[in-house]
Amino acid sequence: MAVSRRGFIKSSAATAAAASINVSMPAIVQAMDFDAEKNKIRWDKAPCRFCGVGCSVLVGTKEGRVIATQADPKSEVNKGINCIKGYFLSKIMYGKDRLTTPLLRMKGGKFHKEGEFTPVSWDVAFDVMAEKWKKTLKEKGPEAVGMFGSGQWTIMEGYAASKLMKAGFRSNNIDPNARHCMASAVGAFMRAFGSDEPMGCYDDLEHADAFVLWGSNMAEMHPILWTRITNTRLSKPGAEVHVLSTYEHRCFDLGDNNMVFTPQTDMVILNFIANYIIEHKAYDQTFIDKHVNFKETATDIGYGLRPEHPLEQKAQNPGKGKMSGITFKAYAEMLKPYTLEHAAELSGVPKENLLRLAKLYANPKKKITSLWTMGFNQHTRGVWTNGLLYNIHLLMGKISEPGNSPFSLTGQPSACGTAREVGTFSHRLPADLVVKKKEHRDFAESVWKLPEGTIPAKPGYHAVQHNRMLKDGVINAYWSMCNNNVQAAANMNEETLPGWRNPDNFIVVSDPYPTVSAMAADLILPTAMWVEKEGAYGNAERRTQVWRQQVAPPSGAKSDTWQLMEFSKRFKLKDVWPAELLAKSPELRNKTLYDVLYRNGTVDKFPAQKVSDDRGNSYGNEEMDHFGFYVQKGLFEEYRLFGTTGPKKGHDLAAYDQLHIEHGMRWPVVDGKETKWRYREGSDPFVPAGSELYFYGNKDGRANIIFAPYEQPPEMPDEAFDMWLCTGRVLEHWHSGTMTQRVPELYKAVPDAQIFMHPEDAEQRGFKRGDLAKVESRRGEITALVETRGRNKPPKGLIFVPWFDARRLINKVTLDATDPLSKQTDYKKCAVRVVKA
Amino acid sequence: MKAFIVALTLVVTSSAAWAGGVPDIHSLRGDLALDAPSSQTTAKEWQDGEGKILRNYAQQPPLVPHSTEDFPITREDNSCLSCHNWNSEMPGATKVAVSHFVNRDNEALANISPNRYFCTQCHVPQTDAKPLLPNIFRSLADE
Repeated sequence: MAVSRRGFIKSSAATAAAASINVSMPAIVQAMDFDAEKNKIRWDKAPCRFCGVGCSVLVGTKEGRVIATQADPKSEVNKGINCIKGYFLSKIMYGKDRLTTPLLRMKGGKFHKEGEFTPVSWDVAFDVMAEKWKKTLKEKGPEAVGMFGSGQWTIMEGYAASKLMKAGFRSNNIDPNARHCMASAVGAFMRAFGSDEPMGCYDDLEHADAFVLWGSNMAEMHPILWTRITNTRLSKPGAEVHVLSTYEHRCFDLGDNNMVFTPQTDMVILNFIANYIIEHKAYDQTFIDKHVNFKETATDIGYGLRPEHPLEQKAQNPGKGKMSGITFKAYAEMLKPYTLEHAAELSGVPKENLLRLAKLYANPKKKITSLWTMGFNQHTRGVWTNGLLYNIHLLMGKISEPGNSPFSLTGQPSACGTAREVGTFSHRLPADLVVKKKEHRDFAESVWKLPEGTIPAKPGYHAVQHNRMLKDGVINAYWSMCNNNVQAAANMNEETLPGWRNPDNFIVVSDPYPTVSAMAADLILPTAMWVEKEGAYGNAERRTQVWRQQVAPPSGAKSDTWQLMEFSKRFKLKDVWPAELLAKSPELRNKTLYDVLYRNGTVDKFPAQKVSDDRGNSYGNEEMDHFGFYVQKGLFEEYRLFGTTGPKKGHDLAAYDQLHIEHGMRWPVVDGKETKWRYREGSDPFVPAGSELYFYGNKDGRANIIFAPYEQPPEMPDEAFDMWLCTGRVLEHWHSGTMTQRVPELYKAVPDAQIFMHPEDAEQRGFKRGDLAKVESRRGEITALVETRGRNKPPKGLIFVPWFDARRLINKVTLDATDPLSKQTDYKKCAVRVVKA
Repeated sequence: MKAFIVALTLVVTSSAAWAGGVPDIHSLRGDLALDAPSSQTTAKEWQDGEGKILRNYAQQPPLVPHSTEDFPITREDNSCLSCHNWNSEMPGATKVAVSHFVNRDNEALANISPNRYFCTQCHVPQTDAKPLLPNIFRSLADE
């Protein structure tokens, strides 16, 4: 911690005095005199910038700077507690290297792909960028432009971006980094329930009797939810915690039944439990009769690799998600091979542990909340595997009621709110609508006041495909916002870097800091972050949270919304739309995309106003000042029409003004009231009276139990590459470390990504703890320090390496295989060897 | 928007095409090109026994001024509490704040609230690693 010399001397006497009377005394007490007016801090709520838990924090500002952050005691999510990252939010905006000017690669005074980053004005930046976009659109059409977005975008940013791409440029090549994080969860929700996002909510964490973690290290990745589970486990008689993982981690410290399984065999365990329930006739027949259909899914579906890859060539049904109806009897028959013996043999988990787990699920009296994140989602059978867990909850009728909850956790602060609900995926539109359905496009076009046929029907390229298409020169103009995909995407050496540095392509990165991605770009745009703008996030329990701008961004940095809207001013519709579409609305011909998308009478409906709270404080709003209307409110209220008037029911969000008052509300919000448990009569206003439970996302109101078999992962350890590699996060760092590596306290807590390894594996290879070792795969290598006594304790044959560290890019090593249905990358399994550095 | 011009003398030192050029613009990789091998690093030591680490603001959880490697927290036993609980006799050890004796429903408890049980979620030790670059956050204590 940086302490000035004077400050140190001044406070050290007080510290000594405090120590002698055995109390700790915060340093700031010494630095303050007790002048209430002078020392006044303005506190206002905002959701945390980091994970999908969606804690609320209070942001303390003084003289235009954030000087403290604390947990929001009024938030139902975190009730006055944060994790270590949340407590240090106050520092994330103050890294010394904040970008304050656009930087363009230039040589000889103009853009050059191999030029040096040179400061230019925003005008020059957008001129060059618009020229590249216009040229690409003219020569190759909308499918040659692309945008990579984020589950960390605010709802309004994602909405403005999606509109610009899908309606403005008429390209569906927009996809968020949530593709890497939540796509499998979305796929499974749609297949089972016909509607995305969890039916339960965080209240389940107090109602449940037992918790089962399937591939989720909540103690580090969802710390505040873990405090709630710990609370229940330690204070509720009979409560128990079961933890499944491919390596031992901090959740095992609380676990009553800890299980380390061989990667991919979670599918076998899940099917074994379903088989156990059926064989012991423990299922809820009445529930099944009323609420469930049985299906099977096409098998041997490949691994989402490039089509010419031998594994794709070999697959019978690559990418096929077709489901067919089956009987309960047929389903039971398909499960028969999944015996206790078979599950124990394949997974490596002792029979008694598996049996204890199966008995728990089969016990009708136990209320169970199952939780998962990337272990299930970053899985080449992620959609199936999510589904296999729903199967168990549906067989037992343990769903949509307090404590009985299959709960898909999210990684990012607005993976739900922005990526999923706004639909910034290449195949989606807001509120669960999809581009391929004409009815859905028609509705979106009517909200947007655009002619029929504006939105293209064909889904665009998904995230993994973006890098492949950049490498192949199919996408040539590409804008990446609010994420760091060069560090995040798998197989950096073979796909990402060649794609981004392909001389045919012009790549733009908007970011507050010079990230690895920024360094791979051609134009870097300095960007406002977090509370430097007004925004909204939606967390994993469907809770929408709005915040006001707390401080101004550094001079020169602009919000994503500002950038999107300013850029749109540079295009006339006649530049970007085809003649037949212009013919439908000739009056739009000479209008700009800005006029048509954002000055359409809805987005600009709310005039500029003073932003204030009920405590007499006032707040800035850069976008309102610049554009002359309340941009965030207009975007949000137009977007809200998709939920309140759209074809898919149950997606109603609260009004913008109400969200400024509440500490978040869970949708659907009807008549100002939130919904805790979806599909349940009495809780969800969309459930028809007398039906008790109704899965209205599906036409027949029933959920689908979908049989899927175990299938092998694409790459497994062999003689040449003899270990599994699993990647992920650590508590102290958020994603690629752009923010947290710049906070000294968080950096000093975990400065380097390490190779977590079994001591015997290390010894066999001649390593001691703290030695530098090289991790190699068929695609790339990194070097890092060996850790044999750390917080993660892998079994023999597996290593864990986190991906936050820009100085050792583990995604040079990972494989870009995806779930063929969700197109989400499996970051949890590939084959590597560990050798001397 | 008014265009502005920034005059800058470029000192081009990098030969790698993917490294980025202007000396002031680096990712956290520093001078390392994106396609270069990982940077060298060595094992860090935990700050230990150098006294308490000052907070940045009153609401910040105190950092741990010693290694925690030998202090496990399990369901059965929280070894942090042997020194840091309210009734511990260990001199100099920061005692758990009263905020930790209140549960989720705001009821006062005689002992640590179970939702505060895993100390390491908020309190972390520090290595001797030198920060990669300065952070210009200003604490009220610096004024």
